[in-house]
Amino acid sequence: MIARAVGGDDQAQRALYDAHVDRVYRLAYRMSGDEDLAQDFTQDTFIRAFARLKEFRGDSAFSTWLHTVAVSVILNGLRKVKRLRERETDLDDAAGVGVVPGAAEPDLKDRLRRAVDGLAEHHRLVFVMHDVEGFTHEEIGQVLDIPEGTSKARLFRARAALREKLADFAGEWAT
Amino acid sequence: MSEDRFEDFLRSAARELYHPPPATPRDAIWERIRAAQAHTAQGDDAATAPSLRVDSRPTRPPRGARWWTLRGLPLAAMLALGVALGRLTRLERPAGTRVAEAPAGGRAPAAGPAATGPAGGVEAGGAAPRSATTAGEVARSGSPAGRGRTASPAHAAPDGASAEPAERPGPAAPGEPAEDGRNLTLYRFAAVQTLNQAELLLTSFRSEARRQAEVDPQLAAWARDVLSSTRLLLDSPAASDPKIRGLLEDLELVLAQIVQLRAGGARAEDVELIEHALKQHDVLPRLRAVVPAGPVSAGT
Repeated sequence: MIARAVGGDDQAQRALYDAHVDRVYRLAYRMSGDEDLAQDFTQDTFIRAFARLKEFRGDSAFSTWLHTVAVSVILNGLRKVKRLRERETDLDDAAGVGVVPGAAEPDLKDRLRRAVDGLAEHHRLVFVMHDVEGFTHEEIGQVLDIPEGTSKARLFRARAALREKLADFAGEWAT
Repeated sequence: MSEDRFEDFLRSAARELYHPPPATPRDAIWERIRAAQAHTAQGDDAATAPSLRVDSRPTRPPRGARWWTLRGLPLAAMLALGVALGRLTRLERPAGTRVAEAPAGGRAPAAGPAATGPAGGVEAGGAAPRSATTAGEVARSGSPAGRGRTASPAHAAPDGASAEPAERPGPAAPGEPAEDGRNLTLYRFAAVQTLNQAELLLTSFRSEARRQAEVDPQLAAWARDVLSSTRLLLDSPAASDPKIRGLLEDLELVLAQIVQLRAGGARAEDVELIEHALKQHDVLPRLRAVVPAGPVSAGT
C-alpha cells in the first residue's frame, strides 16, 4: 500500500490516511487545544508525509515514522504560536494590562489544563503521548529519537511536577 | 500506594479533561489535503525546493514594542538589498543593454511600497548612482513573466503619479539569464522572508479574530507592508516558480482583504470571508510547506 501511495495512488493514500488520521489528530488536538490548529497540523502532517513517503525505508513502523512527522509539525507550529502569544503578552504587560493573580479558584479542569500546559515542552509531550494518548515508551522513544529510559524519566518528572501543582486535589486520589 | 493512586487519578483526569478532542473531521481534512496537493502539483514539489529551505525564525523585538510594526524591518532591508544589488548589476552591464530610465527630472516613476515601508524608506538607498531605480525595477531585472498588473493603491506614488513602472519586463537580453541566476538566490531568500512574515501575520490574524472578532489596526498596517512586499515579489524573478507565484497571488488576495478591514469597524462577516478564503485556497498550509520552521529538537 505504501508503494502504491508513493506512486500517487489516491486510494492508497486515502487508506493510509484513514488508518492513521485519528491518532494524529488526537495528538495534535491534545497538544494545541485548538480545533483549527489541530486540523492545520494534521493536514500538514499528511501533506509532508505523502511528499516524503519515498524517504520511508521501513526501518520502523509506518505509524512511528508518521508520528515523527506529526510531532515535528506540531512542535514547530506550537512554537510559532507561542512566540506570537508571548509577544502579545509583552505588549499587554507594557500597557499595564495583565492577568490578576489569585483570581477565583478554578476547578480541576482549569487547574489540570494550566498545570499540564505549564510543563516544559518535552515533558508535556511525553506526558500527553503516554498518559493521555496511550503511546508506549518504546513508541515515544522511536518517535522522538530518544532512549526509552529518557522517555520514562521525562514522564516521571512531568508527573512529579503535576503532583505538586495539583496538591490541592490530593483528597481525590488519596481516598 | 499513594503514588499509584495519583497516577491513576492523573491519567484518568487528563484523558477526560485535558483538551478532550472532538471527533476527527476526516473528510474535511482530507479535502484540504487534496486541495493543497493539487496546488503543489502545479509547481515543483515543496519537498524538492531546497533553496527555499532556510531557518527563517524571526528575531525577538524589544520588549513592549509594537512588534508587528517591527516585523517589516528585516524584510524591507532584504528588499533594499535586492534593489541595491539590482542597481549594481545593472551598472555592470555593457552599454546598449536595455535599461529602464526615469522620466526627465530624475524622479522615480513609482515610489513602490518598499519606499514607504516600516524601515523608514527603502528607497532612501537613493544614494546609489542611478535615481531611476524603483521597487518595480527589482521585477525588471530579469523576470520573464511580467504580470501586466494594474496599479493598486499600495503601489501609488504619494503625489498620485502613475504607479506603473516605466517599462514592463520584456524578453531577457543576452547575458541577463546569467545575471539573474546570480540574483535568484537573493530573490528566493527575500521570498522566504516575505512568506514567513505572511505566515506569522495570518496566524496572528486568525488568533486575533478568533479572540476578539476585531482586528487591531496595527495588524492591518503590518498586512499592508507584507502585501507591498508580496506585490514586489510577484513582479520579481522569485515568481517565476509557478508554485511560488500561485501562492503569492492567493496571498495577495487575502492580504488585500485584511488591509481593507476598517480599524475598529471590521464586521464579523468580513473576517469570516477572509477565514474562508484562507481555508479555500489552503494558504497557510501552502505557506508552511514552502517555508518550514527550523529543525525540531524534540529530543532535548
